[in-house]
Amino acid sequence: MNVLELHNVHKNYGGPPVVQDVSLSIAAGQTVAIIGPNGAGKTTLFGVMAGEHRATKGSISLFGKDATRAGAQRLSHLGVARTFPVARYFLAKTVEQNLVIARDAHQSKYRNPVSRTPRSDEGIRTALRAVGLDELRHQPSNTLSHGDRKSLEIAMALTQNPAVLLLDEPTAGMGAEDIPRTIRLLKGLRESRPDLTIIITAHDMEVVFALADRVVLMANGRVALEGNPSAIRDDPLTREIYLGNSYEGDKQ
Amino acid sequence: MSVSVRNPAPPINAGPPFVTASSRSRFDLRPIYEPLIFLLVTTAAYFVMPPNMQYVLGIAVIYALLATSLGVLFGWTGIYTFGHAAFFGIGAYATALLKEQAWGPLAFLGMSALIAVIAAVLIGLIGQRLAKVEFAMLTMIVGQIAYLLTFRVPVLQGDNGIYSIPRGDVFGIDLTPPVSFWWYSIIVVAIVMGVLRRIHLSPFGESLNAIRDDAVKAAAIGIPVKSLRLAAFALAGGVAGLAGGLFAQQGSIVTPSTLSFTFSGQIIIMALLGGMMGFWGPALGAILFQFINALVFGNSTHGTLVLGIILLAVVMLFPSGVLGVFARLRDLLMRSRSRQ
Repeated sequence: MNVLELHNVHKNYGGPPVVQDVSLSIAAGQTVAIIGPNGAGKTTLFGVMAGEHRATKGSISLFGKDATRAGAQRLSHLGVARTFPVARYFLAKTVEQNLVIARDAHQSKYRNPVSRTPRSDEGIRTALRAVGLDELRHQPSNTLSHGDRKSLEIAMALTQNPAVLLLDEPTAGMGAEDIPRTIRLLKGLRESRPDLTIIITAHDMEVVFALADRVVLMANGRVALEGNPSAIRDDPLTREIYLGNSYEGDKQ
Repeated sequence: MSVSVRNPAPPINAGPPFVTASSRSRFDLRPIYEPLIFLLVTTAAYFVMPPNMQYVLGIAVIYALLATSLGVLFGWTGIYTFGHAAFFGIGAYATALLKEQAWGPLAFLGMSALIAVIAAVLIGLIGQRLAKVEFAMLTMIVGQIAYLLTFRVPVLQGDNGIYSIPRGDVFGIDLTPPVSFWWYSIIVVAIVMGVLRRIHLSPFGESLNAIRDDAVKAAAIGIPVKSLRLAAFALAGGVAGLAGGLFAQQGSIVTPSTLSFTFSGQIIIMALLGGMMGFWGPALGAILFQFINALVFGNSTHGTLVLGIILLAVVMLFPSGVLGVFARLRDLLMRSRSRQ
């Protein structure tokens, strides 16, 4: 079953297209990495998939239903959780409070103006342990290291029990010791939840080749290559794109 | 076909239980005891004050409610408004215009709040797509239009305002004597503050804080940012309208100054003085502002200038307001104790 399908998706911001004619079908349980040089359109495509940006043309379906016009909030309730390239979280809150907010948002508790905000529960503690932040749970989140902030965002996504997890540069800026831990975490997550679909954008090829079942290489806003990680790695076009030689998507 | 099924994500099997039922939360008594302390402290102060200061305190507690309603926007949600006095004025004029009706004073307050909520929802809907600064400009323009309307609409009686607004009686108690009105207004203010504190501590209040801190992230985790901003704006407008109604009953007169741009600025100064981030900061700031204004400088031009300089210095030196200074002192005390 395809969880997420993109049909001829275009996106522009009033100027030339940033993403053009992208079609993808992503099955349940797949881990797909979207790679490409800077300016290839990865983050914009990611934003379109996460509902942050609306596609200018084309359509998107989630679990077989049209989600082209669904915004980020709607998609979140449909089972899509995401992280950002620069970790976003609630600075004024502690680590644990951030997870409580994410859990409550997923459970639509924002409608409740009466009862006290519920505190942590076993699900939150499990997510904190999974990303290695258990001991820092009472620490103000604005005092975390860069790597821990990325981990916090992943933990917030996990508390939402997602069906699709969109990870935008999950290891960017992490320390050398944090990257293997994050890879282990995501591998463990895949093993324990085989239905979970993960879509990653990454510059770090170690992450891509350790995790991805399938790699989508983007250039000039288009899908240039698609296939299993070793095929993408060995393709001369990959080298050409990454080495900065001219590549015209239209040549395909 | 649009997506219409709520949360149809297929169940995630096996694996760690990342989401489980929430633990039972203890009942939080802060929405009860904090307004009660506020009521007791202000009432104790009221009864030891000379009559002229009792009058100042009577207005100050109404302004405390007004400033707290601004805190709902600036402090809780991160919505900036430069026309908050418009809702206060709308509430005040609503009570004034309804004075001929044989309703009790509480019904007048309810109507003031309701009309202000309707106005806030309309403005909020118009401004829903605007960015922060643009929205602040919209509120300023709407505030100015409301101010000018008081001179253009005959029934509002321009500069003269509307006077002889009766205080009426509640449960058979005549509110005309100042002491009776004090009890009436402080009980109303304390109850509304308690309700606001309840909301502040609720998941709804937490979600407003999340929107304030990072609206993009809030939307990404499933918080309906636009709807909650609108709800916060309506809540703040309604409370400001209620405070306006109370003000009209207290002074028995309403003039255009209640919805002037200058007064909108003063409400912001009150809230900044006390501290926007804490729940009680704006209320504390409003009371301090009112007493500094009345005790030290009066209303002469020179006094206003000096008051402005003092307030500017306070805001520059203590950006978290007076409540922030207390919080800092408390932190320092706790740190020194932990070192011993």
